[in-house]
Amino acid sequence: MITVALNFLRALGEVHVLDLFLVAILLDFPRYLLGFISVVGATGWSYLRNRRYEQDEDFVLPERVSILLAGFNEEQTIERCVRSLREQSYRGDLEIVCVDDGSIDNSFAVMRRLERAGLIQRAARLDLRGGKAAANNLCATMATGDILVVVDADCSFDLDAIREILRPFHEEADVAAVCGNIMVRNWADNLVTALQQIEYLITISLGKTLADALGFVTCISGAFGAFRREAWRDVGGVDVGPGEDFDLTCRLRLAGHRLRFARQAICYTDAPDTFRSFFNQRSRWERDTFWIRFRKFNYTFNPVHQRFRWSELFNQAEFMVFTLLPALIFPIYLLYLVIVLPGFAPVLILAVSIGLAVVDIVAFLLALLLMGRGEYFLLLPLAPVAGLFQAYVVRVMRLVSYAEEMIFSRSLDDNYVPQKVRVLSTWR
Amino acid sequence: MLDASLGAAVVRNPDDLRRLRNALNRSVFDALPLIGLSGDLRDKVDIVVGADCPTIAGALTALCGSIERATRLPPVFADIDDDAVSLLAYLAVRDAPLTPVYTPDRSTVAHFPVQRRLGDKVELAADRLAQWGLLTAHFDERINVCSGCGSGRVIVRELCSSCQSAQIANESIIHHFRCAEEAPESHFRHGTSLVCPKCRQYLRHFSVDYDKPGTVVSCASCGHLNGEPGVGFRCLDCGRTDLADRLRSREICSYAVTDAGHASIFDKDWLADFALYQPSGAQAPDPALRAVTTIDPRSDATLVEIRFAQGSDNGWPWSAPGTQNQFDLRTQELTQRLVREHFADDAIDFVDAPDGFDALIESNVAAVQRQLPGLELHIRQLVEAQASCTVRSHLRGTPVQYEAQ
Repeated sequence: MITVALNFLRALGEVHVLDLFLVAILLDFPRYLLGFISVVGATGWSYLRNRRYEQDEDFVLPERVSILLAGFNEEQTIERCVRSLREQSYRGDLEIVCVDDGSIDNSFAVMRRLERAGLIQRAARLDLRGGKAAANNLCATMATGDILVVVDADCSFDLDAIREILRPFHEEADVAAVCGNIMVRNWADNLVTALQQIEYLITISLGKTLADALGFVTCISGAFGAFRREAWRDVGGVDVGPGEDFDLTCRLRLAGHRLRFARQAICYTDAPDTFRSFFNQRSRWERDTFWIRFRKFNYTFNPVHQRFRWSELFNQAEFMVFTLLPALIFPIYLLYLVIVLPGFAPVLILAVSIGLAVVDIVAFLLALLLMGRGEYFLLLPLAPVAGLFQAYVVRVMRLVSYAEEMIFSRSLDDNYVPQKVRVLSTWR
Repeated sequence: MLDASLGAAVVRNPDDLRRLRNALNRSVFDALPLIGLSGDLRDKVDIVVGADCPTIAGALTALCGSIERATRLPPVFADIDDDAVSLLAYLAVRDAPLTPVYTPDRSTVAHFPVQRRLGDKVELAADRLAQWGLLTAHFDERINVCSGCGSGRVIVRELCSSCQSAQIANESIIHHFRCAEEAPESHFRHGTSLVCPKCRQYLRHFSVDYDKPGTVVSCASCGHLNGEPGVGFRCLDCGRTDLADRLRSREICSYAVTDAGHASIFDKDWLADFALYQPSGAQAPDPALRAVTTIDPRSDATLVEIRFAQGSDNGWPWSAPGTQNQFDLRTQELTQRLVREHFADDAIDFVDAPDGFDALIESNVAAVQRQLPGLELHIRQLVEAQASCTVRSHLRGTPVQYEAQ
């Protein structure tokens, strides 16, 4: 069948190719094309920037930097996280502030031990869990630094990660927040984690570099992001979750703050290692995104609203065109093919898939080129699989999540945020 | 001069006591059981007539054991002026343990109620005796002492871990559910009301609008917040303030005289040797004692044990036929010459021992230890392939005698 599909592709005329890859050409290609442009631009920029590196590699910010580490039941991971933060090459004034958000394990005992050892400067314990947002706000209140770096307790960091996430603050005084880069620590575990590493490379390393170049950093990850205290205070810190990191980013952008992405500030996290946990996590993320975009910040579509900003409308439009629309159209497109060409549909879909796979390989190679991380080259054979997985499976999952959220408000049932908080969330 | 064979002394008042102290050698005075006739002597004598017992005869009866032991102290004891020997005699004569007393009246907090002139040097002397095996030490208490002046009178209290001010207070944390603001209560407090500092809403109902999930320690001096306070100390004697982990700790022990201690203090030979080598001893060494070398932990002498273990069946290179695997005289002579040359000291004494010998070197342990690796190497080269040797230096807990060659 593959031979038939390849012959079919070879036999197509230019116009027919356009017909066949209509969705891909309209929706996927611009993204990768822009990605490619970003690579060329960013590589040149990075070259110039690296030359500057050598001159001021050991820069130190005049401000104190506070790392905020709020965790719930993180007994097993918090020490690794703290130790990787203490291994950092950044030599400026750095403090680590921890809050145990009502853990029922020995997280606080570990924090106390680390505090006694001088590895963290402050640790507080809450008897009742209040959620990540509240715990991060308490961390910020306890912190004394002017730069707040929010990290997840289950993450660990490259030696230069803190220095690199602080570099935009050093270089540009008007930067309010910086997003760190996320990689999958357990990418070699199995197919699920490997696919996620490929996705992270393409969507975060490549995608956010593009977003950074265009001035549209969409989401400062809650796993690794840095904020100036004035900007944090300006928007009131973190709001009730879920999706509090995306929500905070939206509020910062709406308040007119400038956000950046630090590609070389690399944080490693453990990705879900089963398809079930992967789908659970992604469904939650998609639901949160949908509600924050279309419910909490629905006024971004209203030009007469006092907080309306064209830049935010552009951001919403980008999401709708490149994320929401493919999720809606792609199944309809497949259905159309099956109905119009019932006997030939499998060959046609296979032909489309081959085309998409080629595009995904190119995107993956571009991401590798951008990051300069040769170790991930091993994942190249899986790049087309990751693309097809995204196209056929994740898109369907995304569509289902949006539908669930639209009809049943499922995000309000996520136990990621405690019940006592969920019932009062302002964007309900 | 009066000596210890007096057995005991009766003193009427502090003047008597002073005169007695001037008349007696210090060691004898410290060892001698004393009977006081005045309440003023309460802490200076063993028994006070009128308070502890009604009559002098009764006091003598009560002290008869001590008196008998005091009379057994050899005359040579009077020649020794050493804290450790004085303490040993004091305890051995009374057959009593040395137990600490804790009091806030002294900066040391713990002290040993020895009624004589040792004062604060008791513990040091007791530790020396314990090192020599003449006393046994049993853990009694551990106290924290100031890192500056060593005083045990320190106030330990909670303080701000940032500025070390003791002006700290526990404060509730308020979690406002609606906007996720979580901060100390003082940030929310407006008179009798609670107003969220982030969204400016009134917090009206506990558990519906907000809750208090925990507490933090807030510092009134610097405003810093922490989950738990630090711990610091203030020394009442020198005024030093610092973090508690900089406090030094002192282990307080109680002591008891061992059998070896009892035997030594009543042994004229042991005391004679001690008198001979005591650091401050002005007395010239008795030529008659030159034949005996005493290794005293207080002196600058080090014992090096040199042992040979045969590693092959070939025998020693110099051994006579039929005497394989035996350490022969020529090997011994050569090795001893090597040791003398190595330490550039022809006067080194050697004592035979199974499979080797001991060398007594007139130098302190540290100096000898520095030269041991070189010595060991030379000895190994000398007896290469036939044997290995062990060179160790050590000080013995109790004086040990060796016949000099």
